[in-house]
Amino acid sequence: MKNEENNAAGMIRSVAPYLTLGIQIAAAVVLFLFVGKYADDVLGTKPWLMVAGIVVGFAGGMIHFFREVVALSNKEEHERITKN
Amino acid sequence: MFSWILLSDKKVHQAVADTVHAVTDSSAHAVAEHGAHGGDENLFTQLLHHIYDSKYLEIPFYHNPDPNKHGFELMQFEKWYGIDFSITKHVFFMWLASAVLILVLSWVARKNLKNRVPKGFGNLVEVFVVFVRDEIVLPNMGKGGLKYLPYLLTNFFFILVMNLLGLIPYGASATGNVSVTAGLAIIAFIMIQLSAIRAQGFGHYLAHLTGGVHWALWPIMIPIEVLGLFTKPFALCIRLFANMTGGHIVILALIGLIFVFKSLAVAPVSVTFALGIYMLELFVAFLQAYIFTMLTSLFMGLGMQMESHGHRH
Repeated sequence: MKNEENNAAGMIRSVAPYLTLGIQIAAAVVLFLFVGKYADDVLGTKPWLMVAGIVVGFAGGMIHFFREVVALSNKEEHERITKN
Repeated sequence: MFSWILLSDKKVHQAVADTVHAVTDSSAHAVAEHGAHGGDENLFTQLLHHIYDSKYLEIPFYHNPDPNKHGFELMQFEKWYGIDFSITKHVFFMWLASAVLILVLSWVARKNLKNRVPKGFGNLVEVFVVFVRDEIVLPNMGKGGLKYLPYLLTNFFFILVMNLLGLIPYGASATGNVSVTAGLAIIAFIMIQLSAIRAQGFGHYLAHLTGGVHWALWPIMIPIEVLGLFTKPFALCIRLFANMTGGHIVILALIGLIFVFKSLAVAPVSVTFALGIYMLELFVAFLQAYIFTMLTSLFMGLGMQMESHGHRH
């Protein structure tokens, strides 16, 4: 644990929480796109709910992304302070 | 990459064949040894035969009398509710990996019990076990993670042996099959959730899924957080599959160059490069087993630590 930043294991450990952040934004957009598309088919409002779904998915994805990044960097900051 | 998973093997095969056929020299198909695959195939589709799962097992010096069957035919079953439970090449190698592990590791365990200081092969296995414990489990999960050590060790050795089996002649990597890696990822998914629920309690676990945002945003944030639970194992699945498949394709393509140029003069270059990539694959076999185990334990650790650090939102 001492030279954590210097070895490969420590490097993977510190980047790992960020690895899937990108996929998650895309996945959120796709998820809400399909929800909107399904709602369109049911309600006959093509294509507006699908568009709304994309917007909502993207917004949600971004909110999640920023919250996660802020939480992770706070955690890192906290760990750095407690270490020294 | 995604189309590889979404489409069935056959469709991909056809799509790749159509694309590559237009590009490659059509005479290439005549040179590879499996002429029985049909006249309209080129080198690349020939290569893919070695990577795809198949119903036949290639055995040294064995030729199936039936020219349509390329090797020893494995057990075939009728479809059961639309699911094919036939034994295929990759299933065979998965079982072989399990058998090797059960035999070798129980032998090593018995031997290591006798010697206080392990010698020879027992020592080698101990190095890996201690490495997984001290470098993977303890830093990521703390002492509480030690109860998950058996699962992570199984994961590590199983993936490692499956990867290595693909590097011996006539062998195949079961981890080069997306269904196998998906199976491993599903187990990892279950373990990540279970360890988090055990450490935090079910209520806390559910509360975390709301993302700690205002309740008005819950309909948006809960699906995204739930989605987040799946993206991690999904990435594990694709990472292992792509790494193993990629390495095999490179080796086969380098060897295939000899047949494309139809000249022995290319062989020294091809074989040298293939040998280099082979060494790299040997390293990747260990690396990917390590990465898979490492990330699984890390994700389990992240879920378990929520409890000790309090809710982080």
